[in-house]
Amino acid sequence: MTKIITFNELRRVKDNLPDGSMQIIADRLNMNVEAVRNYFGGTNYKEGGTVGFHLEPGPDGGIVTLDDTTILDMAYEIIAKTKEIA
Amino acid sequence: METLLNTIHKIEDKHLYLLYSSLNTIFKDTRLPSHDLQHHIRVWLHCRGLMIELHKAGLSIDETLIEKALIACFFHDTGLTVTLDEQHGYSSAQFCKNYLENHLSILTNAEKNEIITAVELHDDKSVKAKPVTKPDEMLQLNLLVSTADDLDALGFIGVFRYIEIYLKRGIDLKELPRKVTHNLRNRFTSFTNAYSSLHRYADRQRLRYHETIDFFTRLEADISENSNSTDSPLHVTKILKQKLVVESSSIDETITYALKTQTAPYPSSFFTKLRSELEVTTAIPIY
Repeated sequence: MTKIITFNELRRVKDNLPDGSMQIIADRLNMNVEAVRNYFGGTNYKEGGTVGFHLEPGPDGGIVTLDDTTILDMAYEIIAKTKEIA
Repeated sequence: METLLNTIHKIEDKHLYLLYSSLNTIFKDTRLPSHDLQHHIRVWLHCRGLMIELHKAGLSIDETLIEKALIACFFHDTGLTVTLDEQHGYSSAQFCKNYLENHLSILTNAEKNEIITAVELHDDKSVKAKPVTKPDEMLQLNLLVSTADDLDALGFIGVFRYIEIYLKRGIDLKELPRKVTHNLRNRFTSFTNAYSSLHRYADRQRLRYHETIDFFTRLEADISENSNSTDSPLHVTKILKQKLVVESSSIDETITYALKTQTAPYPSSFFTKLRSELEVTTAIPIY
């Protein structure tokens, strides 16, 4: 499912993830960790591919279209669990 | 979708550094934040977004089109380093021609000419006036580049860009809101004439269009009322004029100054939103 989110909002999600979360998501989805980083705006396309992330100018750092929300949903889940534990 | 994005990144990887270096050289003695290297990067991002939307709508985007569009977007306003006139496209085309002669021998002469024409005519109203009658016409290089340029006139970025270039062209502040809204309406009409079938994309651009129009509508009212309020578009305009036009500050210096000195809600909100819009280019890797 496609999702539209601002770049700064996506960055806030990434910044709220505990250390090691990128690797956890990559392992769960059997993906390269660079691909997960690229999903959050990383640019190592040689290692991680493009993962359906594209950015266009707009409010709050720009508008990001994500072709698939699996990684984002997983990130929200990890953040929610972290808050529960804290 | 993945294939198209991979192709775009491959072409960016091939050209971006060289284009970036060339533009840095061309703009090294020019202080024009409204039409600097960052503007050219944003126009490319708009063009790229437009091509992605057209691909999603079922049109085929080939590698050559992406390559031609990237080069044309990066050169379209370089002529403003020679003249601030609206007819700067000719000078931009000369810069582009030099670049193509020195760097890209793999392109055919016809492809090079197509790029040069798109650069020269990017602001030509007669080109924009031609209606799109078939889906494939949405992929015309001229149209893609001029539309992408038009889209960078929207949002809060559009506000500062219009104010700087119009004041530097000698347009009186009193005349400015009316001239901007006229120009902006034409640009948005050109966009909707060509691309309104991309519904969600067009809706996003409409929101940005209204932000810019709303600013200049309020500015016109402020000017006619001779407002002295510091919590107004007129006050924002005065700051932009002083910093960008009188002092030749960069847009970053202008925003930093405004956020440090302004306490009223409107200017604070305006410059905060402007900064966050400008951040988009930081997400583009240029090696």
